Amino acid sequence: MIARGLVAAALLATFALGCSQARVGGESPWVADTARRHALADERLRAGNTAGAKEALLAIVDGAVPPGVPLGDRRGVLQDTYFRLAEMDLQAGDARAALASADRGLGLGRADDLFVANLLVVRGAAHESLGDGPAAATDYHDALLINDKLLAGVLHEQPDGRAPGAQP
Amino acid sequence: MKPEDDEPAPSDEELREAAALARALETNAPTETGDAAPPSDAIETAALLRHARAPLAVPPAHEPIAAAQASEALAARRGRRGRRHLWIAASIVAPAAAAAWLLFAPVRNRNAPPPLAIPPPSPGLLAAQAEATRGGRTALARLDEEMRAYRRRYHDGLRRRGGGEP
Repeated sequence: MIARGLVAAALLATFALGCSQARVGGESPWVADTARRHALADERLRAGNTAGAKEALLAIVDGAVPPGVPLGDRRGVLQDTYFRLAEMDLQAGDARAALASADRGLGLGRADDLFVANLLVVRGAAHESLGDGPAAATDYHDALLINDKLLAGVLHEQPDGRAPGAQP
Repeated sequence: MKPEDDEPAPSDEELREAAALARALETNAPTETGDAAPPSDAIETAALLRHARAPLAVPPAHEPIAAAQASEALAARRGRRGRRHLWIAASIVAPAAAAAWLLFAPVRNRNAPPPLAIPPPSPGLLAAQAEATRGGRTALARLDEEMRAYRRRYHDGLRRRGGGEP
């Protein structure tokens, strides 16, 4: 009995070692699939198929993200997709859905980068459509602050696209 | 000096009682003519000793009941034994798993790639973003258009860092 337990422990340890040594390669197919769905959304939008485009993008945010994907990459990809979804909702006249998408995207985290600024812009537009001027002004202002930092970074050639002094 | 050496020699009465018990233990031992019958306490003691030596006998009518009770008792015993084995296995496997995790988790974290540096946005994209903060759906649509090229660059960077095409 004890020998059986020891064998099981050894197998478990081997499995854990194998997992730990495995290269984290789950990101590439996920990114490829995301890029393909964005391209499909572009194509459908050109054809006037807004519902189809939205469907392609929803598959990204509703799908599972591989565990090996760094949190920063996950946030960037998903926030960018939420921005597109919110923008589509707004163009379709559904400001409430746009607001919900922007909120979901911003709920993934904050940083002084392009993706967060885009979400603030589209959320400001949704607030504006719903008649909430102060909330719209706040979001536009916050977006402009990030935009200003990003512009300063471009002018000073920050290589990572983040604003100077921004937290990663 | 041994303790038994201190004991006094048995009295005549004790010797008679021992002889009576010996007679009572003899199966179907006939009572010798003229001998007194064994005392009742000797008969009781003999009966108890016989019963202790006798094999366990179950009347045929009670056999199914006894079998069922024995089966239940054996099943309960087997269950207890199985649980005990499970506990032993768990007490070995769980610490081993925890040790393996503690040992190799840092290795896994070292293998995870760092987050990709976000490519710098173009001045045109930032201008479109700033324009969109003034409101209006047209400016927002233009921002979306500007984002498409940027998005392709971003995804390409992620794919290159992730180990190439799937």
